[in-house]
Amino acid sequence: MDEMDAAMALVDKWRSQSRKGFLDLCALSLLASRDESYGLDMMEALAQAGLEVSEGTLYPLLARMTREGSLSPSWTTPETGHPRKYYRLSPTGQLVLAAMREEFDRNVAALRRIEGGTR
Amino acid sequence: MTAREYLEALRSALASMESGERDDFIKEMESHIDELKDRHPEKGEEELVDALTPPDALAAELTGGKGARDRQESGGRERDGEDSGFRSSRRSRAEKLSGLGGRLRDALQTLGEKLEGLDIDLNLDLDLGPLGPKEGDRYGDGEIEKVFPADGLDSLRLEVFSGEVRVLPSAVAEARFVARGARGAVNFTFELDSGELAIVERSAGRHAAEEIRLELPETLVRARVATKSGDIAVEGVACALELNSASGDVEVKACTGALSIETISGDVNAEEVGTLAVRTASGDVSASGVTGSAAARSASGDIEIERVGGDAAGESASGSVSIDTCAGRAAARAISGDVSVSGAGGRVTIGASSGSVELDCSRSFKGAEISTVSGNVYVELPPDVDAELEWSTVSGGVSIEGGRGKRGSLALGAGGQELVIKTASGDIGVDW
Repeated sequence: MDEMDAAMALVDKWRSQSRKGFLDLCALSLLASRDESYGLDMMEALAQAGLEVSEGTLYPLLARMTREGSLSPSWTTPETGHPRKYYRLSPTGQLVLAAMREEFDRNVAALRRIEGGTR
Repeated sequence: MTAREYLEALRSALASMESGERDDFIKEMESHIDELKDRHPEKGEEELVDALTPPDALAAELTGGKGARDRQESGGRERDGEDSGFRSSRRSRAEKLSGLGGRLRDALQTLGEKLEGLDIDLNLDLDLGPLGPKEGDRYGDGEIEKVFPADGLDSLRLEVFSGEVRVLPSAVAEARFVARGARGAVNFTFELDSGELAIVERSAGRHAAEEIRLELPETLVRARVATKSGDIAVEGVACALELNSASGDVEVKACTGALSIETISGDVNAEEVGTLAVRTASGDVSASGVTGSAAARSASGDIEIERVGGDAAGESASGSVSIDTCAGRAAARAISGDVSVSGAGGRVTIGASSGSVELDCSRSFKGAEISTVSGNVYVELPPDVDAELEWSTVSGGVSIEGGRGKRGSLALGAGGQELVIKTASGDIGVDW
């Protein structure tokens, strides 16, 4: 049981570290796949894909990636209803995503080779 | 907590943030709550708001912990004061005013963005000097057409969202740009800076130009095109090209300059080009007729390269790699995909993991090194070849005439160029 607790604590720590960068990749991929999207829409899409993300994680992430230049947000105000902040990938963001995606694939492939799997 | 209380708490937790950025964030969270209310009419506002990340925690995430500290300090002061309720309501009034300021700023900003299209056209003469638009330029609602003299224009950069981009040579000594789309959806800025003309599409809500045509003068040194989801087609252009697309396909024909292409999921097709460097994440790459060297890398796309005047290199993690006929060296790498190389004029290097490898050197052999983990390897050499064979497999079978054992070497003809094959569990076959 002690081992179990220790392992769980370690995995929690590892998860929060590894998830951060992974979420960046997922958010960029999501925006690439749907051209543009807003916060709640992204949260729901991520949840549907099996990735539960709170607004406390997503919005700061979007704000940071906007500051870094990967995202270009724009406000739209429909005739009825409330304004929404839509995010798109900037040209920089597209490059970042392509590079991240490749890196990620490479890492997964490396892990598989390390594990001795053939596929 | 009501939405108003939540947003006010968030505002004071974000005291250390720059005010424009803070207003924008508050507005975004307000929109988030409105959206939740729309989607869950059965739930009360407080129920929805209470399920949100608490303002302090949100602010801490946003400011990297700084906001949370500020909040704790101000919270402490509030608890000390007896009239905290009064003070907080006074603060909320001040915030309402600053909120109004924010909204006013936003409105002005939106207005500014809307005016910008016009503004740029008006300022163009000033910005571009002698390169300004000539008589006959049209600025229709759904169409922009501009002409720029080639003199002093070295490079050109075009950034678009989703429209189809066509790049062609210009018949005259000027660059011509035409963009078409729905009314109000065609919105570009033009800027000339030290010989580079930048044409950048501006966001027009959810719309974008549908067709973009760019004609390049032959004096142009370099052109860069970036798109998100639109296809790019380039034909007959001699300058160096950098093409970048997220999901759009890229097609290049008869372009003699150095060509560099990057896509995420878009496929790449290049025919009769100068030199070629391609990177994709999942897009397939097909290149045929490259005068100089050709190099293509992909994470999961298939790579096909044929008729290369220089060296050829292909690398894909899960896609297959095929190189057919190159005058120079050939290098191919794949992890799970298959590799096939034929007609290489120079030395061949192949690495694979689980994919199989086929090397056809029946016309000429200038040395090769092949390694795989579990993939089978088959090599064909010219009938009268002079070569040194060296092979090793841990658990695979070996089919080499006159060669015995899982590990061995053999001289063919007078010996000479080396063929080295190493695999862990793949079979090895060599014919000549």
